[in-house]
Amino acid sequence: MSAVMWVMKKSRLSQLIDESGGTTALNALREAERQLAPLRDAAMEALEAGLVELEDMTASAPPAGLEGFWLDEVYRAGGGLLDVAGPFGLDDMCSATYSLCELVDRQKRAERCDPTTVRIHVSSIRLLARPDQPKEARQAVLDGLSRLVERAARSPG
Amino acid sequence: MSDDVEQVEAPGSADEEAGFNPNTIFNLGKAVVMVVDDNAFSLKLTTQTLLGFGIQVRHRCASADEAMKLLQQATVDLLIVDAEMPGIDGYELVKWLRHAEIENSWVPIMMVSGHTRESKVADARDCGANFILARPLVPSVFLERILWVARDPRRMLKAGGYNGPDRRFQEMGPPDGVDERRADVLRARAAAEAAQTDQPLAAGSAS
Repeated sequence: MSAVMWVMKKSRLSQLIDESGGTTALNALREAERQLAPLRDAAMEALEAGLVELEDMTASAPPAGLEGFWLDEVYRAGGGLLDVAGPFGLDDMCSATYSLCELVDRQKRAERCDPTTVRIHVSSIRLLARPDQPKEARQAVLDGLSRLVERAARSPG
Repeated sequence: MSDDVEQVEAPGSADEEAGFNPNTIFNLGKAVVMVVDDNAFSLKLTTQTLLGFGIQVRHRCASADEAMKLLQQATVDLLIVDAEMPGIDGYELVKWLRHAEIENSWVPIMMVSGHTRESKVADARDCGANFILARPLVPSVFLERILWVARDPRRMLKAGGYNGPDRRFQEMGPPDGVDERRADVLRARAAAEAAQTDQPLAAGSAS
């Protein structure tokens, strides 16, 4: 068993947080919403640009020998969508994007590339980016993606 | 060994409680915060959210390299790091800092991750961050984690190559609003089954 050395240092953050003044958590959340509101349009534009990049990237299958690179690029683009989608209530779109990242990571680990399942994910992200879809339909899409990822996990490499 | 490190054999215990309710009052207006994120728009979103919480981001870094230089020059109170970055990623940055033996080495750290590759799970566990927060970065969850990290009762430690907060939560109990731990659920279920069959319950049978 290795020795444990405890660091006897209290963070300054733990002292600052209880200083007099400040705000309530509720007010802080309202103020955060106010601060983020002007960024919403720019976030939607960034999401659209990211989604178009993803669609262009996955429109055709990767050239032979470049499948690993292609999967990495798809993963990077998916991660970019998650980076900017956060505070604006696009939960279903984020779930689909997370599913894409999981699928691509599993394919990369298994050293196999299935562009069809990747494209299904990208189409689903596009669908879920639209606010007019009924809740049941959105859930059905997410359930389908989940089954695809599970099937990918069971498939031999 | 530096002056602020002592060597002991027994683990510490956590006697404070984490969590928050809407009426929680906090004041982080004087905190010096650094955010590291290669995505400029994501960095902007994080900065604006923190501003809403009354927290000014003093240092914004677009890469781990930039952050490493600054962390050796300026003292920070809270570090928020994107996990996935080109070049040196967030996990490497945090691990470097925890081992760097500089003023900021034990600063509270929150990692933010969209999706964690399976190959990075061990890095995420072992890098030494206080918490890893999953994207999407919803303000209510973000604030909750900031309050957790500010009031994190776990002590920092060095053990077997790991530098960071004590990773054992077993003596803390669930945070506010969280259901009891699985071990407690199992223990309660075992007790109910034992009561039904009039069998005595063996101590620790569900742990």
